[in-house]
Amino acid sequence: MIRGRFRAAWRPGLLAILTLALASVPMWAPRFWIYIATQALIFAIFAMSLDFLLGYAGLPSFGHAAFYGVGAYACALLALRQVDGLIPLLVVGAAAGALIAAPIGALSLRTTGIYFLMLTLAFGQMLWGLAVNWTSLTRGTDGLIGIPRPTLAGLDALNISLYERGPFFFLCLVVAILTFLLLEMLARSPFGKTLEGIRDNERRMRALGYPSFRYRLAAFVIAGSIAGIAGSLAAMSNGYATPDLLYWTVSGLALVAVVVGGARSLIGPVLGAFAVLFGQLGLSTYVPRWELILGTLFIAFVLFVPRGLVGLVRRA
Amino acid sequence: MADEIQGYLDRKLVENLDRREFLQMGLTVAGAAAFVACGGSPTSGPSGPTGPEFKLGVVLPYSGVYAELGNSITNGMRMYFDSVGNQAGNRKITMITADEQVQLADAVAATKKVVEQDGVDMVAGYVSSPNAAGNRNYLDGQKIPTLVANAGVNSLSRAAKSPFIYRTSFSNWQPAHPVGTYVAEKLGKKRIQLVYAKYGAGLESVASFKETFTAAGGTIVGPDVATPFPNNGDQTPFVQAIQIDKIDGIYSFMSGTDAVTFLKKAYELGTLTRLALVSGAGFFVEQDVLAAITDAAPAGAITGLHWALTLPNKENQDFISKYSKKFSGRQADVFAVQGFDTARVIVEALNGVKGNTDNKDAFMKAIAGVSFKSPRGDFKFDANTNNVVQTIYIRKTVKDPKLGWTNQVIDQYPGVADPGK
Repeated sequence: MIRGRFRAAWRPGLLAILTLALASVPMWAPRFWIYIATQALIFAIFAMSLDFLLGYAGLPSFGHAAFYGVGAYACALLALRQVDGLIPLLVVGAAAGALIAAPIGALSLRTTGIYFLMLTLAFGQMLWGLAVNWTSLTRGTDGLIGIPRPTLAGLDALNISLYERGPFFFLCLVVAILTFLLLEMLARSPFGKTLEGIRDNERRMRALGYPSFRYRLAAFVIAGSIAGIAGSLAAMSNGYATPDLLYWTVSGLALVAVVVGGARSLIGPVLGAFAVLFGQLGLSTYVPRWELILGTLFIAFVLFVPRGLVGLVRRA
Repeated sequence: MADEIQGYLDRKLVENLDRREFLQMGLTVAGAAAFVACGGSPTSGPSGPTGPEFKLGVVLPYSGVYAELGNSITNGMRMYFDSVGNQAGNRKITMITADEQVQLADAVAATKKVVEQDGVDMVAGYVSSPNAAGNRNYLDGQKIPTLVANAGVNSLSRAAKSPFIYRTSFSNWQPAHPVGTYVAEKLGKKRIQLVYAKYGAGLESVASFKETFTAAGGTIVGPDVATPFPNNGDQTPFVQAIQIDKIDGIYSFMSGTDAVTFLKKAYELGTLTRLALVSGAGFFVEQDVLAAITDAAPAGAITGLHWALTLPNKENQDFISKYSKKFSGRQADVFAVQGFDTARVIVEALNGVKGNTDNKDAFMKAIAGVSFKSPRGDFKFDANTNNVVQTIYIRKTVKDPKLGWTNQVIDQYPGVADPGK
């Protein structure tokens, strides 16, 4: 309960600052850094969906990149077949993520803890293998390239093109804010509270009559579909979908983002995603061996700041 | 590393001074240096370039499976630029390197970084085929003059050809195509199994081999041994999938660390000695690989490539001795040659347009017209494909008493041009 009151004090402030700071990025940042910020926002959406699983439902998925990658491929395949509407492309990403998450969740959720982690990792790697080897559909390791940016009826009328870096950044920002609001709403709803209950004491919740498996599966599918949306945006942003997107290191990087940012906060993963992506894509072009810095940072956070960046803010 | 830092400091220094201050400072320093160098008697040395700096973005892998290739290409470029005093067309040439790494996401970020943050005049590099293909639309759209210094993806010479992208290295088709004919006709080996890293370059290389090999009466014995790319795991299951008893030999495409780990494992398991023939695209047994595996090398391997350390021509002998001297004993490899030639194309094109790169069409035309005698033999571009036309050498892997493990040229196919239109 103390946490709840505390949350009321620091969250809106941090949220407002974060939103304003992000919205102003295209006004002052050089083109390259707008690109990095766009990638970070997309990764933030992905990390938030993982935080929902990890933080609220207590499910440490290590194969979350599967849904991200599948969303990207679904979007790419559709876009390469001349579908260029933004909404259909996002919807297909979400649907693909959910469709794949349902059977994987149904099987993996029969286990918990480390077994769940290993199973999700295995399923994720299976899908990665599929993406590498199903060359007629995915073109193998080379991936699908040359994906056009989408169009949106209203924007065309205003003469705004999503090929421009600024507008595309705002698109990602809007999707990120909507994702945040949706997950926040879910987390505060009876559904979210039930999930937290199951996380903390599953046996008791079951005794109270809650079908814990179904709740967890629902959370897994929701997180999968949001990861699919993020993947869809990634495909649009980069113009390609490659098997790398499904590789376990992407899941790992998302977990790092969640832990560094602070799990169970939804804001934390956003901060974490920015930290990780600025390192991976921004710093790495200036500093060699940036992974070393990232690794050290990760260890330091796990040891000294277990609540992540938001934990620091909260304490201050 | 030290060069990178130095380059960064140089850039910072230039940014923080206005041009006049910088020139004054430069002249003072140059003057002082000349004064000291000439033992105190002030004389006028040759004046440096006065035009604007020519910034070359170099996007190459300095980490991961192809790091050695990236280093070699960079060395080759540096060596040629140094040989002309790092200037051409009255412009000082500055290399700005960015790490391509392995994955496309990183290569894309590196490209955007040099183009947008550093504002380079030109981009050169790309080792892995998917990375060149994945950056093609961006470079073409931004009209950045680009030289691909390694990635062999065929489409860059065909459907995805761009007026702004030329290739100084090879198309995957080139080194593989003559090998098929050679193996079937000259060696009379008719049953071959394909072994390759499963990505664009590997698939295109084996497809090209298959074309001429089956046309000459050869049979591909399946199933193919396709390793993941890059293969960070164990190579054992892939080596064991070679069906030694059913075949006359293998054709392989692997490069860099993949080739090293595969050959080492094949040697350890005794597969290499039981194979009648190892053939492949030359990268499989190129100098970088041979240096890493030494006596695990497949003696007698027959490979096709556009260069060999043992080529006797004067340009090559010059190149390999200077290279080894400049980089403390490092042996030259085909990638260093590609870097060397890439730098030469840039310098000659810059001289051709007298340093004026504002007119991009004229600059690209100057690039297209460059031809010279390279360490690899005659070098020129093909107007149909924007790709280099070159001799493909058939080489045999041997242990030379002086050079150590290397490849001896046993046959050659001159003027091999990619069939793109």
